[in-house]
Amino acid sequence: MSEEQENLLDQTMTSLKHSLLIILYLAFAIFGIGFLAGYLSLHFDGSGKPLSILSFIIVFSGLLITSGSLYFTYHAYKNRAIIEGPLTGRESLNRKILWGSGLLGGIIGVVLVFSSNELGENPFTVFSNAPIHPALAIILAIVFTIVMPIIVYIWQTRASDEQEMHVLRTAAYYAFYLYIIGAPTWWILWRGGLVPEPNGIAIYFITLYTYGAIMLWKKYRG
Amino acid sequence: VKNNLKVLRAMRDWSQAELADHLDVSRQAINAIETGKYDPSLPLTFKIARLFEQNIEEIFDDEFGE
Repeated sequence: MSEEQENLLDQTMTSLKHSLLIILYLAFAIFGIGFLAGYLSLHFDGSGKPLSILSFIIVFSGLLITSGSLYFTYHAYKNRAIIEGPLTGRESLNRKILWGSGLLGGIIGVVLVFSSNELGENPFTVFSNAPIHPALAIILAIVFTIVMPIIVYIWQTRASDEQEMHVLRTAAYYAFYLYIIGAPTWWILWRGGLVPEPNGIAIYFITLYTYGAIMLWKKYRG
Repeated sequence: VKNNLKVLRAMRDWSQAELADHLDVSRQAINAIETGKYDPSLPLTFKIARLFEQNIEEIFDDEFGE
């Protein structure tokens, strides 16, 4: 491996580390906001009294954690930008779309968790088959069928270059073969009474994560 | 297909990012082409040739290094 390739690899790994830090800090910030919202709503719904000294300290701590997490998120974002140097136009748009999609997915996950009747009973509530409100189902179906295709169209036509499209196709082949081999294998084993009943959404996520992992590997490691 | 893109880029003192910017692709794409992990499409090949003002055969050759 040449020095330049090693530099690019180092740069990519450092950039990935900062990206993970951004996600971690953002998760803390979201947790802090959720905690504050939950604590304050419980407090005011329950008593309607002003905050006690202890409550004030708890709320202040929550605010401190949230604002600190947001500050560190910004700091990690700036550091990553310095390490990477200026991005090309396509890369910049690509990055924005990926972060935007991640944020959209996070929001959908949070909405699904908080709208489920199983909240608190099952740590994997977001993947459950519990009923949700029909209005929410319609809104999410619109997001999946209208918003997502628009994002994908912009991503593939304006943000991805031909090498990335090649990588996406390769990842799609692997994910597709995993699906057409894995799904019937699970189904047959279930019919033989050896494994639990096939779960459509689990198969969907296994296929999706396989696709994502191969895509990232091929894009950054060849 | 082998290529001497890296040499041509070095002659102009361009980084991978700068060449990527000229060709409207990502740095990863330039790296993949230079290391032979990805063969560019014909339109991108012509674009590279025009950018360096050389014939395609002068940049790309499936017998380089053999």
